[in-house]
Amino acid sequence: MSGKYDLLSEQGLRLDGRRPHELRRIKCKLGVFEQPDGSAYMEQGNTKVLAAVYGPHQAKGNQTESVINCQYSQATFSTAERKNRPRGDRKSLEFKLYLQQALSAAIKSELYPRSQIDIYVEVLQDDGANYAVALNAATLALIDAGICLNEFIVACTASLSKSNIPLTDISQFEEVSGGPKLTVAALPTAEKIAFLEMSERFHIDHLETVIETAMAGCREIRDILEAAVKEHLLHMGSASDFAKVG
Amino acid sequence: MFHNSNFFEPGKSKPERSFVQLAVKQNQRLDGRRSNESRDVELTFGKDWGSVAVSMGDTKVLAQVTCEMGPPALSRPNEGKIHLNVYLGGVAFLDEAHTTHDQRSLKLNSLLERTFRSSRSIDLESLCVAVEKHVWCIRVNVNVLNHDGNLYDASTIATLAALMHFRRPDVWYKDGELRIFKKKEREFIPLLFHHYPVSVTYCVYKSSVQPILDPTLLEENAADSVIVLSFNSFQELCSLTAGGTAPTNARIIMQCARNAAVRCKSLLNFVRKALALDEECRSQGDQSVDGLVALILNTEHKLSYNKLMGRQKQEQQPPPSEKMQLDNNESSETPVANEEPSKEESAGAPMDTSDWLPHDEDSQELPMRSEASPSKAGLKGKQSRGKYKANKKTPPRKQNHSDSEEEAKRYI
Repeated sequence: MSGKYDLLSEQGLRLDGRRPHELRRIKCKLGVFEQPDGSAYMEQGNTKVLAAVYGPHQAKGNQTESVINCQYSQATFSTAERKNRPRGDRKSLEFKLYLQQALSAAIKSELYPRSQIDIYVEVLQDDGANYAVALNAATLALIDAGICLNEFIVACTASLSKSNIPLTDISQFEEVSGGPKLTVAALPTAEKIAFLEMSERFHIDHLETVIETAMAGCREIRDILEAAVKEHLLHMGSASDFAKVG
Repeated sequence: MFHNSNFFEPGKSKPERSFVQLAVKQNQRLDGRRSNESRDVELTFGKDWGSVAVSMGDTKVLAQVTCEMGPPALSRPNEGKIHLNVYLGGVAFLDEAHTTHDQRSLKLNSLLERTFRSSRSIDLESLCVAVEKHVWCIRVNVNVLNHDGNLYDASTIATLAALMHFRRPDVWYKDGELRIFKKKEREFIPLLFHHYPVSVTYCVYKSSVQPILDPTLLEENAADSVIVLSFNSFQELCSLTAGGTAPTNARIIMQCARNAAVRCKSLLNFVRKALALDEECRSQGDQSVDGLVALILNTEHKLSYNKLMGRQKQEQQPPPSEKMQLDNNESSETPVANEEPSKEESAGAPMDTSDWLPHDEDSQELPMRSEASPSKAGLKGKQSRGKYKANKKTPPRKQNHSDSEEEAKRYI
């Protein structure tokens, strides 16, 4: 649209060599800390995020319903220019609200009355799609903590190239180049959208295509996360000797 | 005027929520509107450039644009700056937590940032006077006067109308010497726009498949999801936020997007027409500008969405009464013998022609008299009416002299 660079070459490759619908490489690990009830580490390309979950524990004050408390912060060394405030600035508060909104749609809060679930997310390296990777890491941390979810809630970003071809999982350079950026947090099996946010400008005719592209990315990420959870369960089960359970 | 004087925020308790959801299930709303029907939007312009108040039912937002000369940002030396600030200071409820208040202000601020800055609606390069030295810094202060839901739409319309209404001083720069002209020296210059974004808000409920347009505060708090879409007149999506306590469908979001694109276009036409009317009113002299006092008064000169867009629809189907008004407006073009006395009447200021019509007098007098309470605005209204009455009795030639005398008196 209005960017100086074309994000897609004539051969259909992106700047980092991916096809338009391909995700960056995802590596994730559950249970990286012992002290929190649940923790997860996730890399998506060069974006690295740590998530920790405490709770459900007793809530402060006399509230009847469950409280989901999110904290989003970005390390000072995570960006190319050093950040002065890792948390408390407007953008991190905004991301905190969005995380809280998406996770409250996924957590079965009726099972935890008068309880509080604290989720802490720290971005170690920023290479685009911070919110999506933060939400994916928070989901893994919640699963590691054993909190009951309706489903995996996963997030993915999508963009639109100069020739109106939708791109999946945009990186930092593609974000900064001025193309539109759509972030979808979805429950992929139920085909539901828990959170949707879009900035920059494009025509309404491309909206359905871009949303569908982001949803396809969410489904792909969900499969990757599910494989990681299964591997983690297998590892934990073998460490504690399956026979004792039987 | 401000009916929402509750100390507690509506829509927070479970009986209220279930009541609203049941009503929505039966395709009804509490104030009688249909699901795709919006409250009337009213624009009130202040005396200064860049001062606009927007009313949507009981939601009232005031936007003020100021500018100052300053150094540019280091990362963008050839672009001006724009700052968008939202203040919700006067709007708070007793049972509202401090964090909730901050969250509301934060969401509103981020929406305005994404709608106006990220979509590049204003040409910031035109605000540069000298690279790396002097650029214009535009500051928009949005004050929420009363909150009855749908702050997003009211704030966006107020910000857009204020930026379109704003004029900045002319600048002369040569050989390192900067000179900013004052209002008397040179005419002020409007801002340059690439496009004009406006936002539309929908609420989605589990119990109904029909999204609700322009929710009130009660409906907003009882909703499962809130969808805010910003479009410009070219049907380009500028910003989109959808989220809440329950997930929604992509199909519902697409349905909201298509309806919002049409509504944004008509809202933009309304804002343009309101600005044109205000410009026409200002060109006739500063005395005819009511300023923000019209926000409190219920005058006939209020610029409301239903009036302007309704008038447009009526003009397409010309009824006889509209024809009479059109003929009066175009009396100079049509040399019909029957309209010769109306020509003489229209020889004066166009405002006087409306005063000569008996229908307008009757409609104008009633609300002013009803509002003749012991307030200064009421007194001013009485005085101005007396002057108009005196004008009618005098013949047209002497009328000009009496007008000039009255103007001289006002200046003294």
